[in-house]
Amino acid sequence: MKAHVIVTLKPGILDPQGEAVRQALATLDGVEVERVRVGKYIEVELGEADPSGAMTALRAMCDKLLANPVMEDYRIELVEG
Amino acid sequence: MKFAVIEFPGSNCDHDFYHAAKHALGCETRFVWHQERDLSGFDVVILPGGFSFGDYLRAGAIARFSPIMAEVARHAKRGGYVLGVCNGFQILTEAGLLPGALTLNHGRKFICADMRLRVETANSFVTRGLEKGRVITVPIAHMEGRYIADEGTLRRLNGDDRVLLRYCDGQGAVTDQANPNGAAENIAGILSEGRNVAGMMPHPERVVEKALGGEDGLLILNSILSRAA
Amino acid sequence: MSDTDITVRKTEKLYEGKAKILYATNRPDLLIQHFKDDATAFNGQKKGVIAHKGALNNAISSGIFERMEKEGIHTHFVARMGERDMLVRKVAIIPIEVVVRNIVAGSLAKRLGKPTGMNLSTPVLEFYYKDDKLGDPMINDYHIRAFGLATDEEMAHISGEALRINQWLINFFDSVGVQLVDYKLEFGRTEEGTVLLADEISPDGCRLWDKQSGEIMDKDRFRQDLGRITEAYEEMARRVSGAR
Ligand SMILES: Nc1ncnc2c1ncn2[C@@H]1O[C@H](COP(=O)(O)OP(=O)(O)OP(=O)(O)O)[C@@H](O)[C@H]1O
Ligand SMILES: [Mg+2]
Repeated sequence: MKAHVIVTLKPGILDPQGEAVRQALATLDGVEVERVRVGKYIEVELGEADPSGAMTALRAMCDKLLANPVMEDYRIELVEG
Repeated sequence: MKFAVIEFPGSNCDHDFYHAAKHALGCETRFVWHQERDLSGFDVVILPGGFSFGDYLRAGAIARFSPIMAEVARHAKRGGYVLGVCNGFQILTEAGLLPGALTLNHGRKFICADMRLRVETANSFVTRGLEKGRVITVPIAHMEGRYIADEGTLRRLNGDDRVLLRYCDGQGAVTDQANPNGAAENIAGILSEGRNVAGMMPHPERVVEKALGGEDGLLILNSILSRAA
Repeated sequence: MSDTDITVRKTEKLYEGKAKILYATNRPDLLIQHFKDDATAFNGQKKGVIAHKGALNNAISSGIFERMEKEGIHTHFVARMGERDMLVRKVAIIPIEVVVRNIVAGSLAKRLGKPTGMNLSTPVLEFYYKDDKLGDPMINDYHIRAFGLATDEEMAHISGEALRINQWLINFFDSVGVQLVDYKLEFGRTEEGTVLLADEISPDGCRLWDKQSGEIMDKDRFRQDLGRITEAYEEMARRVSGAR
């Protein structure tokens, strides 16, 4: 089973990296960029064949390592394949 | 007192701490590799600064899975002293031994500079040789030192007298200008609920003798040796 | 499926509805719900497309189901799959649309002549027979029993779950600044006979009003040609994904 994990900063958390990217984008002509938030994208391949079992394992991975619950949210997507 | 300085791949303040504990404090000090699983006989466990595991994913996130960390947690549970400095502080928050998180400085820069710090409590194993309100000077050197925590956590830290140090100006005023990294409430260091686990971004081990440009770090490290009043 | 097949993929299209397509998968107990941009109203008399709706409804429904599962409400949700697909447990849908109302609006306002926006002192449950040709007519417990649409035991369970889900959803939407006016639920039976919440929970099937401005954040924007429809769905997706 393949999965994509997307980790994003919680809404209230200041994102200096996103702000730096926004400022750089602002130098491009013709587009107005109001806000940029930078997150992480992680691809995981599991040996688990059961999608529910895979989701349980992926949630645990996110809670324990892939995301820090103090400042991040995560989203898990299984990949069709 | 016997010190353990934990070494992770990427730790780089381990030798500074070894020097400070062994030579400045005169204590028996040993390096302990992160793959080890035994901390028996040690009184103080130091998680030094650096870039453990390259700071991959998040600073401290990978290090907390090292075998030694289960032992560090047991040591803390027994009431043993644990001090995490800089990356060590990051590891302690990632491990859940201290609340909150440390993330990218608001100014996005790596900051290496002397900081004025106000001692917020003398009721701890790292500040008991100092008085509350005293201003000391200790350097920071980090990219991810912005302390954040939800409101409830900040309230508890304040209510339980668990904020150790705040960034301040020369007069001891805690101001936005004196805040180098955007830390919530200028927090530079905190204590665990049991008061035996401490984390701080400033590096006391770097200022333990005149030749290093200051001795204020000794005030903190000597506190560890002094018995609680 | 061989023993070593650890993938999940669509096999054949089972059913194309107005808002979603249902696919069989290589797993006999799992289906994939694909969310479309198509929108219909007034029993299919009004048809249109809401840009990005499929992706947004998948995000909203998945976000809500995922949280419900974590907090002990059983749903058919297994996983989100890409932008528009949701992997779900296969159920036999019970042909009853369960409508839950907290505030007077829509057909209730019309039928009973009550003012839209009036708070109901207690939630109201209504049942409709799921049949597009008949225009989903309203039914009661006696019809359900007489026509064997569900057992008494199932109905007791469904009503209890609907009220429990209602309390959960009221709190959830309140935490993101939204009033939950009314909505439709569908339940289904698994092979083992467990009754699960199925289908979707999205602005297509809910009336959602912004707590502060009173602004309509659901498919009523499409029904009433209020404009900024995608924007309202986008705002709901943002709030759901950012909820604590
Ligand atoms: N877990 C499930 N197992 C089987 N069928 C399901 C499941 N979840 C939802 N469905 C059904 O899948 C279909 C989804 O399509 P859609 O919502 O577009 O249908 P529709 O046009 O609204 O028509 P309908 O009146 O059948 O709901 C619905 O018939 C719904 O009842
Ligand atoms: Mg439907």
